[in-house]
Amino acid sequence: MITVSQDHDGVRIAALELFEEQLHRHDADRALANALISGDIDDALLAKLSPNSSLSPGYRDFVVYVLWLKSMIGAGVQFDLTDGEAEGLRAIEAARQEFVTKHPPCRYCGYFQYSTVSMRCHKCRKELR
Amino acid sequence: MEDTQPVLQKISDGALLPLDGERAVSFIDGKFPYTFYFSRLTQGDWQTYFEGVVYTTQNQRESQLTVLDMENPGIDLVQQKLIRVEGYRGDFASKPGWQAKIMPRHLRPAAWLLRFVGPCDGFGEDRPFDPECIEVGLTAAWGITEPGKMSGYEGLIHRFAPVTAEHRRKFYRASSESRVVGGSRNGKTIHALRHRLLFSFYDELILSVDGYKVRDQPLTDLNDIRNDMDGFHKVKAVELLFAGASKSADAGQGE
Repeated sequence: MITVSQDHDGVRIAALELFEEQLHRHDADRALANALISGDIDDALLAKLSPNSSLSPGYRDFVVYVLWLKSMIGAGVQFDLTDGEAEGLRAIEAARQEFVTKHPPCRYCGYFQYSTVSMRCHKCRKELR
Repeated sequence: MEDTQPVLQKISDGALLPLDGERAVSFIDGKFPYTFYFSRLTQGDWQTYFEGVVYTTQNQRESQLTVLDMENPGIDLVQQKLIRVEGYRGDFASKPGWQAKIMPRHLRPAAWLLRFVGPCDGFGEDRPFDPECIEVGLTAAWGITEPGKMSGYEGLIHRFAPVTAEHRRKFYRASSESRVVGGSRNGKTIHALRHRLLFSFYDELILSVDGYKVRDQPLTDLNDIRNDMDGFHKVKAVELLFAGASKSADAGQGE
């Protein structure tokens, strides 16, 4: 039996997967919209576009909670943190750094790129190299 | 089973839900009404019920399988608290252990009717906000008008002190504290149950209620409210408070 809040590496992986999913969400939304317009939609496509985690769903619930906690702390709200919450914040920060390394932000608009070798920003279309 | 929608009485018209005494539920199966009578359901009974609820989620290839079993603990609750029944043939109810002879197809609707509580539609739209008091409105089935027909109460009011960031944090944390069996990747998430926290929030935050009575008197004393309020109503009211279904929370002033 794993207590999710105590599995720090699992929390880091779940956070990284959530960040990756957010990055690709616009593409998924666009693909879904196109499929709805064309009528070319089936279970396989829906499964492909659905959020998918390699970890048991409880990890994502905990990450969402810790992200909420992080936003409250960032807004100046003070809490006495439990060990699991403090480690959760650290795991999420580690995931964020890993995400930024894999998806460096555009130096013009700050939008995270799909890879480290993108030639052009996906959002503002400015040349990165 | 036929339509089990209760005949609603409005709290705004002076109706009062009697929390004490025997409690009945009734439904029709085929041509015949069946009525179940229960001894009073205490908070301890509801606590046992909630502790029996199973809520798990598991990844299955590209989808998720969620299991929420409220049925088995509901059936257990009915069997434990049932004191008499009407509508059946024979004298089985005079024999020891008769509750176990009632078929699941009748235990299930009885359990469901005991839990028939939800938000009151359109509640609070006719009053301005009070920032120091957050109101939650419930509609609940409770008692019977005649065999086969439930009665109910619309506009039951629970007034709470404002929720703080710390309350919200405890609420969210309780929802996120889960355990996984069978490995982190393919294992099953067993979600934490938060009824104990909701009971404690209710007792801490409640200010007053409207629409309930005990010993034929309206429920007004704060200690009486904490002691006499139905456990399931407590949980539903606090869930609504945190879900933002209250007037103040809708206006972004829930905290």
